[in-house]
Parts: sequence; C-alpha cells; structure tokens
Amino acid sequence: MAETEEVDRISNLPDALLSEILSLLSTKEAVATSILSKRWEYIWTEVPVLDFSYSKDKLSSNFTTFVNRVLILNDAPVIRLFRLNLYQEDDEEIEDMHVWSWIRNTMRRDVLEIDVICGTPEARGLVSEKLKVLKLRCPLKGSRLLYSFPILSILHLEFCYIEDHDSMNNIWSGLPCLNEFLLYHCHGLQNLRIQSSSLKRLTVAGTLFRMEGLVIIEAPSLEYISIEDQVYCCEFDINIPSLVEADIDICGMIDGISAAEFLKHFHSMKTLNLMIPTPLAVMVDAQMQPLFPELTCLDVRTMCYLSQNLHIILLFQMCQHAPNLVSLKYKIESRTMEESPSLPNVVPKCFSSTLKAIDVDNFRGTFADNAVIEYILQHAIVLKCAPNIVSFDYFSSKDGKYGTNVRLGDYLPHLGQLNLEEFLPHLANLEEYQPQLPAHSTLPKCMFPTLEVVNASLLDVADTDKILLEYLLNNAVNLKVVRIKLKGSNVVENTMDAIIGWLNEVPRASSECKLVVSPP
Amino acid sequence: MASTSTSTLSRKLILKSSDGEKFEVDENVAMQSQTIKHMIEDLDDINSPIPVSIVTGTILSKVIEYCKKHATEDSDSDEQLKQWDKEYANNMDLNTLYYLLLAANYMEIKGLLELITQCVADMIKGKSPEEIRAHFNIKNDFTPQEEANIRNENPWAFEN
Repeated sequence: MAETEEVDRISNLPDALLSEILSLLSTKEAVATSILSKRWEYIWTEVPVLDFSYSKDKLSSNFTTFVNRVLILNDAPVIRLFRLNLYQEDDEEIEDMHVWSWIRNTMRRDVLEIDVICGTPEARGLVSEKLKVLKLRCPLKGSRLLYSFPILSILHLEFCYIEDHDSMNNIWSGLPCLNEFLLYHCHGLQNLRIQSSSLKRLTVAGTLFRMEGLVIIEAPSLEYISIEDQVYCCEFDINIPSLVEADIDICGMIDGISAAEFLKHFHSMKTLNLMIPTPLAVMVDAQMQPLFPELTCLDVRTMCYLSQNLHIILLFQMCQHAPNLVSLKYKIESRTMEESPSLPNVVPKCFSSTLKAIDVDNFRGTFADNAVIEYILQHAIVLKCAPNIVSFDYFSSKDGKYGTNVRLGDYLPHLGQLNLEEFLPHLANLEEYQPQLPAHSTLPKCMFPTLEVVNASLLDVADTDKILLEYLLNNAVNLKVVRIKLKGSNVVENTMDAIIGWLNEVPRASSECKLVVSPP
Repeated sequence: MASTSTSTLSRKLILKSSDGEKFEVDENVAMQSQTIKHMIEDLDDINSPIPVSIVTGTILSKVIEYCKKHATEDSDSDEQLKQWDKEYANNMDLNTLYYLLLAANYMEIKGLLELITQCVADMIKGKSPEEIRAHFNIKNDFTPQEEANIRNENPWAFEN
C-alpha cells in the first residue's frame, strides 16, 4: 500500500476531471497550480468557473491585471460562474472601472451565472442571451439597467442602492423567464412594481420600510412569497392568485386593521409561516367569511414583547379564519405568567373537522400555556398526533413552578380520549436538566386504542423519557412500532445496547409492537 | 398503511467488474449511474451481467456502497447523509480516490463525482505549491527559470 502512495496519480487524470477539481477552488488557487509541473501549466485555462471572491489586496494593480489575463486566456467552452467580490472589511466597496467591462465580457461569452459585489455603479443596459442566474450587490443607475435577459431564471438584488426611484418598474419585459426574485435590503426605491407572468418565488426583505409609495405585485404564477419587512408606510396592490406558500414576518408598527388588510392579499395560500406583532382586527363569529379558506398548514410566532393574551388571541383568530387547517404550529415567546388567557367562545371550525396535528414550540407549562393546550385538547377532537408539549428547557429548571411535570398526569388522559395515530415525545432535550416526572404508577391508565406509532427523537434516553415511553408501551394496546432515533455525539454503542436491553424488558400492551432504535 | 410503504418490487441486476467480480444490486441502486441506466435500456436480458469495464471489483464495491446509501429514501436527514459522505471520502487513500473518481466519471454518478472532486479540491485548498506537490507526489519538471517565468506571468496568483 505504501508503494502506491508514492505514485503521482492525480496528474494522470484527464484534463476534464482536473478542471472540474480546479473549478471548486478560487481562480487564484486554480492559477497557482500552473506551477506544480508541466502537466498542470495550462489546466486552469480550461476551468469553467471564474471565482475572484477570495482576495486580500483587491486594489492592487496586480489584481486588475490578473483578472484581465484570466479572462483573455480562459478557454473553457462554457463559463458556468463568474464571481467577483470587491467588498472590503471596512464596509467600503471598492470602485473599479473594470468591473462592468468584465461582466459584459463574460456575458458576451454566454456565462450562465454571475455573482458580483462591487461599489461601481453602471447605467448602460445589460444584455445576455444565456445568463440564468444574476446576483448583484452594487449601486444601480439608470431606468433600464437589466435590459434583456431572455432566459434569466434567478435574480437577486442585495444591498443595492438603486439611484433611479422607479428603475425596478421597467425591467420586467426584459425578463420573460424569471422564476425567482429576491430584493434584500435595497434602498433608493420609492415605488415598486413587480409584474411578471413567469415569477414563481418572490422574497422581499428590509426594503419596503424605506419606501413611501405604492407596491404593486402582479404575478399570476407566483407560488411562494416571503416578506420580512415593515409594511405600514406603503400601499399595496397585490394580485397573486396561484400563491401556495407564504412566509410573512412583519416587524415594527402595524395596527390590527392594516395587518388584516395586508394578510387578505394572500388568501389563496395553503401554507403560512406568520410572525406578526398584533392580533388582527377582524370579525370572529359563526357567520364570518374566513380569510384563509385554503390554508392547511400554519405556523404562528409572535414577538417577545407582546403580552401573552394578544398572542393567544392571534393564535385562535388565525384558526377561526382557517376552516380547513390540518397542521398547526405555534411558538410561545412571551411570558406574562399568571394572566388568564382569553379563550375563544366559538370553537374554531377546523378543530372539529380537519386539524390533525399540533406542534408547540417552547412550551413551558405556565398557567397560560396549560390553559391553551387544555382548550386545544378538549376541542381539537380529530387530532391524530399528540402535541409534543412535554418539552422542557433551561428556563423551567430554575423555578419548579413552571415545570410541566405537574401537568403530565392531566395531559395523558386528555390524549387518551383522542384517536391518536402518532405520538412524538421530545423530552429531555437538555442535558443539564432532568425534570421530575410523576411516578409511573400514579399516571392514569389510557388505552390509546388508535395509537400505532411512537416516533421519538432523543438526545439521550433519560429517566423522564423512560417514564413516558414505558407508559406508552404499557398502555397503548394497538401500538405497531416505536421508533427511537438517538441524537447527539455522546451516544456510544453501550448506550444503544443499554436502551435496547431496557426496552425489551418493558411489558407491552400490544403484542405486535416492534422497536426500532437507530444510532445518531 | 404498511403495504403502501414497502418498496415496489425492486429488480436485481448483476454488475461485473473489469476483473470479473460480480455484484448483485437492486435496480434502484444501480440506476444512480447514468451509464448503467442507459445500458439497461438497451439490454434484452436483464439477468445477464452488466460489464462495468474499467472498474475493478475493489472499487466497484465502494461505488456500490455509495449508491446503496444514496438509494434508500429513508429517514436520514440531509445533514446525516452529508456526514456519511464526509466519512466515506475521508476513509479513502489517494490511490482509491483516484480510481473512484475515474469510476464515478465513467459510470456518470453525479453525486459521487461531486463528492470526490470536492474532496480532492479540499486537499489543494490553502496549500503552497510545494505542499501540493508533496501531498500528491507531483514531480516538479520545471527548471528554476521556467518556474520563475510562470510566477512572473501571474504575480497576483502567487501573492500571499
């Protein structure tokens, strides 16, 4: 074996494979291989990726000469990527007169992807027949910079200073195949018009809060939208009838009426991840028209400074307005401890018809947390999967008052009345804290007649996990499989064996139950 | 429920290495190789061994190990798969990497090709020319004058 290691095999690889390898390096590193041996002298000229992103002394004249030389000598039939990063640590982007010549040069050579960070503005229109991906972080001048890109599929503008207020509005006819558009922390815009029949994915972040005009989104094919911004200062005219999924994260000021009006634009979505600082000002009663008739999957989070009651109002409001909701996830951020939450008088329609799964993030077993989950478990009668509320965190360990252990005895009988098919315990996911569960024998008996699957993902199998797993194995009469996936690096083979050994000892209510334990 | 999740009757194929070793694999494992996929399409008798002419048994078994791992659409997360890939590549000596790279290229297994090229690129990254030569046993056949000329052509590439 030692002998074969002495042979230079890599140099025997065909040129095509060597240039593939070099395409994964920066162009600087790729060119530096020219000095290895005669075999390597010109391999770099065939490399289809030009990546000038890694460099320290970008301003040196050597750098400009280097890029010029590489562009002249590069002989790859197709340039897959041209990447240039002239961003300096001190936040000053360097102006370089050559940048746009280089970009135009690669565009003429039918480059497929361009990713450029620079401080030099450009005003003359750009054209490329073959470009598929364009990512720019630079000042943009002129009203028609992106002139014609017949097959461009992805356009990202990040931290761009757009000098012409309305320059975004004229580009769309030049981008007939655009699929994805990202506008990230750009400024200079006053109005924004996005008008594209091909656009499927749209992300806007940190841009709208600087504007004071009209935002028009006319995108009949749009399937995904993400807005992470403040929206109180703009007016919106949005038409996106094909929308399937939305990530809406509204920060800053907004009142309940505006928030509701804003969300109405996304009425056709099926999946919504919502972060919003206020409950909506909308009607909640039996006669209302639901805002989100198509919504099946909802994830609600709120800001930590919202009082808990408002958070809960929003949560149930969203459920009320999503009569076909199947899966609900909510995250509890705020902790106004002992306030009694206002629970809805009208039970959300989805609770009794469609809601199959609830996932609670950050459950801490406070008075309000428990009141909410109790309400849900009482009314969400078609749940198929037990909410993983028995999760602990460090917060609760400091003060036993909030320990969920107290609630497990109440929680289990509630679950016992549901037709659960799946149970996902996420228990002691923190090593520092091992909560005290009630003694196994004191827990009330539940048969869980429909429960077939327990999927547990565990950092380590601690005593608390054992109690719940043991409980389910003892009681669930029709359990088919218990899957335990171990996480974390401290699980050694001995742990695995110990767990399997222990599990095999536990008496099972179901004779068919299989155990599957998989290592990290 | 259970009946729908079991695999739809996977056919078995026999792959034959250049040194005559035979491997029986599930069709969906072998199909990750575009080359084999195309060969199967032209094949009349699926039971006859498929020759993988330039790949030895030792290397082919490693290729199959990779394809098996990537054929199962089971519960492994992307992260776990990446970790597995990393360990898989790290366990190879240079010699094996070389033949694996040729095999992945010949068999057109995109994921494996990307994995190994990345692994080799990582070996080059951050090393001086001298260190690269030492790592791969590349013999410098330039005269000092020739080497100096190349450095002068692209001085920026050799700045630290």
